[in-house]
Amino acid sequence: MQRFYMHVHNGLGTVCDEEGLEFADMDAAVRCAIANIRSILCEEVRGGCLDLRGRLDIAAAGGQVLHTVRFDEAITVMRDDDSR
Amino acid sequence: MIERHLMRLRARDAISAEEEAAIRSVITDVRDFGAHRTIVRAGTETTNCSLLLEGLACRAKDMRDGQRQITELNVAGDFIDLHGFTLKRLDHSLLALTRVKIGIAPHERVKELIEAFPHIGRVYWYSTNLDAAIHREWVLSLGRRTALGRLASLFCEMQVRLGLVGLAEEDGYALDLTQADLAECMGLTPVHVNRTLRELRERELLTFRDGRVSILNPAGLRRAAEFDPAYLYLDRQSE
Repeated sequence: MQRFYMHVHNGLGTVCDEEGLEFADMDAAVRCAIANIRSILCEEVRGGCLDLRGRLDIAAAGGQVLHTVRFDEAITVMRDDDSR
Repeated sequence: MIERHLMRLRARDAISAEEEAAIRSVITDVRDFGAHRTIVRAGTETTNCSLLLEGLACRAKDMRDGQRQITELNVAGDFIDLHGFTLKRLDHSLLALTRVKIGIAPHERVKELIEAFPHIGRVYWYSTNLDAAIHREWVLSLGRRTALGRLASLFCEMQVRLGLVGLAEEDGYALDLTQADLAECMGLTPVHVNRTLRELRERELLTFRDGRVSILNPAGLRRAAEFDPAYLYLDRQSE
């Protein structure tokens, strides 16, 4: 198991993860990152806003960013004009 | 050993010295569990009730994909599965969130206790009703409160419940939980909890760091949570 830290950067600023979570591998960490982004976006949508400009950095204990998931990669957005 | 349990009971009802001695006698063993260990697994047939003597524990249900929902936190002094006395099989697991000490009360002894002291039977019936009231409040949180409201409500509830057993003050208390634990309580994710904790800090309501909850603005925190302690039935009553 490896401990990764998930730092969020979006319109509200940066929130650093000081606690971290353990994962079997980076794929598992990315799946968790996507779930985390969706949870944050759900809350924003409840408030009437969807800001997809954020990102979540998956970092090692030393702070080195190992992988980045953009908020707009975590969900699929469909609009009327996409079906034409 | 069961002092916090007695504090919890006596906050709401009178317990005589004779009743106290009888309650003490139902605990036949004490077991220690490490943090994040299972105390009773869901589906297990139970023949004992577990009295939490020290530490934090919870009731939780798991999804097949590993997702977990904690349905109630338990603090020192709580009988964490008194309902198992009548149900005989738990539909949920009991988990230690920190190192815990559990007093074991065999169902046979509990039966003898409530037959000899019907008032204690009513006190424990009341206790399971109180658990149900807490569950209803958590349903309200999960269904209707924002992330900030959910966490604010949880921190308010824990202050009251820990305060009843001498483990919280007006300005804060020790709560040795991780952000992942809080996420499993409130149907959020750890990163979302982290972000919401930051919002609570920025609004100067509360800080949560290194297992310590510091309440900066008690009235503001209760307002943010729409917290009404009526569901914790703090009025003293005698049955």
